[in-house]
Amino acid sequence: MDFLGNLALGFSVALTPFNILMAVCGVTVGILIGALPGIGPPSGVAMLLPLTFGMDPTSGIIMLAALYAGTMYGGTITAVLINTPGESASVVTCLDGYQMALKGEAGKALGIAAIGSFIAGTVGVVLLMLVSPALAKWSLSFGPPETFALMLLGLTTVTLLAGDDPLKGYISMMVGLMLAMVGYDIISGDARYGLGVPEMMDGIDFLPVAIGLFGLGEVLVGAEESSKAQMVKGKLGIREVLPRWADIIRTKWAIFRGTVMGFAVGVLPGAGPTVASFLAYTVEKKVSDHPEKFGKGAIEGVAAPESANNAAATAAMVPMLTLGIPGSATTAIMLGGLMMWGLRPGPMLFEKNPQFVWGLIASQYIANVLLLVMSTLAIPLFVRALRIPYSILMPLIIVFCVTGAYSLKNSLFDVGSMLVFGVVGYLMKKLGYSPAALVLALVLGPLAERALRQSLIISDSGLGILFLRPISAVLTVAALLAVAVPVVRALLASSRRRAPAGN
Amino acid sequence: MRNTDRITAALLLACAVAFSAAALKYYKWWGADGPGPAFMPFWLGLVMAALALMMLVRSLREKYTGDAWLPRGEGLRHMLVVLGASAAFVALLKVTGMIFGTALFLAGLLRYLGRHRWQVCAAVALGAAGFNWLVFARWLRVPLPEGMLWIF
Amino acid sequence: MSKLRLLSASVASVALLLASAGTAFSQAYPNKTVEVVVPYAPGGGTDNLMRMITGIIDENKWSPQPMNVNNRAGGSGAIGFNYLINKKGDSHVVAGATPMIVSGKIEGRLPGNHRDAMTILMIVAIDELMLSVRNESPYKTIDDFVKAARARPGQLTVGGTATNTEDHIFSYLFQQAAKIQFKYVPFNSGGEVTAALMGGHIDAAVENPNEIVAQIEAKKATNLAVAARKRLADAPEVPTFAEKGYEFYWEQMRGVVGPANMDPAAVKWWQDTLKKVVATEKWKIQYIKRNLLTPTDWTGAEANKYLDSLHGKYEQALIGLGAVKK
Repeated sequence: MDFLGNLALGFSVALTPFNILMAVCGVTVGILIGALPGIGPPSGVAMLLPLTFGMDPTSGIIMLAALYAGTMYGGTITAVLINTPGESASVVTCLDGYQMALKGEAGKALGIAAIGSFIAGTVGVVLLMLVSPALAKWSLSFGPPETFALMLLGLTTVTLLAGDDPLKGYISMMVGLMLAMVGYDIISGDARYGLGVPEMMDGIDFLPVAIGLFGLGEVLVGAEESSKAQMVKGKLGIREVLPRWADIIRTKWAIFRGTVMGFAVGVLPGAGPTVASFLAYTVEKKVSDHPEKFGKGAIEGVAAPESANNAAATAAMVPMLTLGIPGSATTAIMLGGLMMWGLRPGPMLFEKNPQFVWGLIASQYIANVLLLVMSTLAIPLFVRALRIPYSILMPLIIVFCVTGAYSLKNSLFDVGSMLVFGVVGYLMKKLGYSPAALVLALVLGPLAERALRQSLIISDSGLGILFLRPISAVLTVAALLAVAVPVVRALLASSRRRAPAGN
Repeated sequence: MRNTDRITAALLLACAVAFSAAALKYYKWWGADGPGPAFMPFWLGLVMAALALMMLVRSLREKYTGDAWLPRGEGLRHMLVVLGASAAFVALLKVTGMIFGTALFLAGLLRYLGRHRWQVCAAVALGAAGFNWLVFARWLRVPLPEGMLWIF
Repeated sequence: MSKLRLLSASVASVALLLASAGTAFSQAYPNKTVEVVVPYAPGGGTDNLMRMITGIIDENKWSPQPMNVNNRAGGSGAIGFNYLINKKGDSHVVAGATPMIVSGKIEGRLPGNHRDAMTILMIVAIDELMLSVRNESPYKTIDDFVKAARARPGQLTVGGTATNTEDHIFSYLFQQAAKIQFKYVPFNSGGEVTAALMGGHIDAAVENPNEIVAQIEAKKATNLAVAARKRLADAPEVPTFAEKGYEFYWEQMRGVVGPANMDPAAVKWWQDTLKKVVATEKWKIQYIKRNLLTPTDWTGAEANKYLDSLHGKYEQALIGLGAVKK
């Protein structure tokens, strides 16, 4: 295949003034939609889809793909500034992003997120271009046993999210897993722990929970320390708020690892950017030589997950374009769009509609550049928002959380759930539990349970299926080691301590 | 933390046991081709119970260090006012509607807690309500709750 | 005194407003924004359908008022349909219909059905269901599959979307008709089923034509049989189950439904407008043909009769699956 020729074709399609305009519109609206909590990428794409029907399909998908990239960044803004995740893939960014903001480094956090997103997005597109077929194969090799093993590995990293007290970290995780049991069980068709409330049949949606735990919980803590007149000290000129070269150099490996993790997880069906960002964060903490700084404003704790979610958003296009199989809710909507434009995504798309595919790929480069430029220009503006006195900002954040929780599914039940988890978040914070561990478990729990039970239905050898297939065997063993090693180490340490006492 | 840890541990233990018991009582343990809907919740409840027990034992061994986790005085009052106002805001959404409710909530909280001048309160309240209306109701066409007082 | 005057003035203006609202009501339908409820998440079949229909109505300016598509997802449709049912008598709310409007009452998830709680406006298409395998599979025909299932009862795996759903009932009816047993593996969405099939994690899958067509065109998967009364116009090479001797029929209908007690004028407007929609080229090519659906335009008694016939089938199948006790 002639990549350069194809890419040139792509750029010739994407660089028409109208298509550039569409990309600018997409990125702008995407940042806005991502920043509003609740309205996330799936609803954003669904709402704008009808607008694109009058257009040429290539312009349409350019706008939607730019919008998707924009939402990934937009969610970061509110996560960093007010500890309220704008969309699900930004939940983990709250942990260190908001702490950086409290230290007066909001601009730096937003800047490194933009740079990480840019690099991850660009690398993602290159991978999408060069190795799509191989990636598609990799994504298909993930059946239920592999998915379960991956989720298990993800759950073992939960202590890394927890604070100083691992026991409380595990308890937080268990609360999340138990909440994950609520709702319609697709394997048996039973509605578990639903108490007859129809809204609970689909389970407890984790975004209102995250908005409550992080956003409202933080507000309640803030209300208590009401003397907090202003959040950010120091100057807010463009030089002061943007990250420096040193920051970029320092985070280059975090961005690299985040990108790789994000891409690898993003191509898998059903996993998506949220899982990718959590895994990238915990991996980063694991390999870091100063893990104690995570959760207290470590810049790598922002760079890694933000790179991961953008890489995953790009990666999600791989199964959509090459296989015609949507990997996430957002790509499912785009797929619907493609069909309405009269295109048939799937193995034949690259051959039948090269100008469409390569136009889309080229437009992803353009969207990434636009995203970097626009966010750099806008960061000083966003950071100024923190100059608003806290007594004014606080009620505004509450309104933001309420509207966000509502607009997710147009449901007042979600608003109530957000409120309840706001109180829970406040108590957890006061008592030393880990809201992040709870949210991670709530995200991974349903995926893990479903995959486990599907595996057991498929399997002729019970749990043995996990060890009989190469990928799942490696992942399962890794997960078991991740649990066993710290326990064994702790036992050895305590027996060593006890040994002299016994003598 | 000692006393609060004891109370939480005991509460969690009770919840965990109830969770497992409910799983066994209401759902099937084993399905047609594998574990049924009761399987996972039962084990989760059991693990949770074990963790809660560990915490209970640990907190019983711990020395008393003073239970100063709950705020007192001004801090507590502030927190409760914010929480109460938010709860009222949410509970009354069906009566006031989202737009009017937002304005009311903001104006009230700013005036009462922030002690801002009424001009500031009005400006912020109207601004935010207007933003909500413009962005959510007009552009994004979100069907915001309409109030009973809102005849328009 | 002036306060009283102010009060009476405002009362008068409110009364005026209400009166004008009253006169507005007598104007031609629709006279305010129409809420189009999608009881499922964005990106699903019903979402695509309703966005297509409202898109065509918008494009041709057939409605003087805007149509607002709202996803009210939850409880596999229960939230959205309950919302619709509670709008009894409100002519400005419609919803995308799935067989849930019949089966919801049987399962106890909805308080009523198409007869007693909703007004069916039109059944616009029938989505067929078929059994598919990937090309690496040893089963080249439906007979191969049945033979293998008989040789190893309860061993083969067939994937589908969720439990007690159309896919699940399909697998139940197939097992009954062919007197075989296999394991049904529920997945979360049609996309996940197809991914599992193409990855070789399951032996066969229950698919809507549009979920598998991309793989068929790329010659990576084969449809073994379709549960329709006659072969599909766009896929004549695929046999029906009945002609191969496994007699059962199963399909999924798609339509538009309103609440009970809708204004007859509004019902008429929707029937006429939908008739125009399903006559457009865009609908025929971009919706029906792309999704490989069977087009219909059943309204009124015809639509109700069809739904009545579904009622008995669902009741029987759901009892057979143990989802409903009788």
